[in-house]
Amino acid sequence: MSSAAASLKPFTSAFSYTIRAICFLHITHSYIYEFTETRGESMLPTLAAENDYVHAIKKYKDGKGCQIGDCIVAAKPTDPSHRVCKRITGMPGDYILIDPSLNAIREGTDLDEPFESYIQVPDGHVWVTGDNLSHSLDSRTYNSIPMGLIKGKIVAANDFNKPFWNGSLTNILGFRWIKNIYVEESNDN
Amino acid sequence: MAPPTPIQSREEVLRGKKCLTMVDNKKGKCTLTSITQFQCRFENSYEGEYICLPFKRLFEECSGIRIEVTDRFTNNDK
Repeated sequence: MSSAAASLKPFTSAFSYTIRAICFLHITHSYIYEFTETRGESMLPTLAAENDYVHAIKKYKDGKGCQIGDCIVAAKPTDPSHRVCKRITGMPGDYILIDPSLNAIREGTDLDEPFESYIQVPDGHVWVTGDNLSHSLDSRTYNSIPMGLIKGKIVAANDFNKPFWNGSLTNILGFRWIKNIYVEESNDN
Repeated sequence: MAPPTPIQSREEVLRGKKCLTMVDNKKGKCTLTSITQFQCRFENSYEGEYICLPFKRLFEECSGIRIEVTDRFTNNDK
């Protein structure tokens, strides 16, 4: 080996490890796990309007294994370069009211229409809505979304607005689990 | 984008699925489920304070068919 090649070896080695680390991060981020910031008030109170970071599991990509009531990250249908966090409120084949909250938003109105207008979610699609029905751009506007747009399922979140230590190991930096909220109603209701 | 999806009335939906769900309904096999979402409004937008009121959405599952059955009384709307 020439002396020039020997002197370059530390740099080529560092470059090689950098490329490998980038590839590892890319593959992890694309196919295994993603930790990303969310913004906007559409998922209040589940996710804060700013400085909230979600843990998304990528094995649910393309909607595989997703259920009604799950929180998901998806590409926005009207602008695929943007991501949205929403709740699945209709699976393929379900009959869903387009916007049952419409009456409550338009206070003072007495329309039955919100409880009369149904759509059947097409195969390969899901109906998604933000948890904050008053301020969410979702399937009520852009219709159901193809499951192929789902990038992962949100399983937990960290609220960076909260202090680092909150008295417990289980909620460092506002950590909490994001659970499926589709539940069976009790008989006494 | 989603394919064009026709809007159906409650009557159309229930009429179409009545035959399939009626048997399960009589046998008490239908299950009532819910998702609770919210309607939030900002009280002080500078400080990010908000108030959220729960909004429950009810679903009925019969014979593998899920139909939303939220009505005006579910959330005590008058």
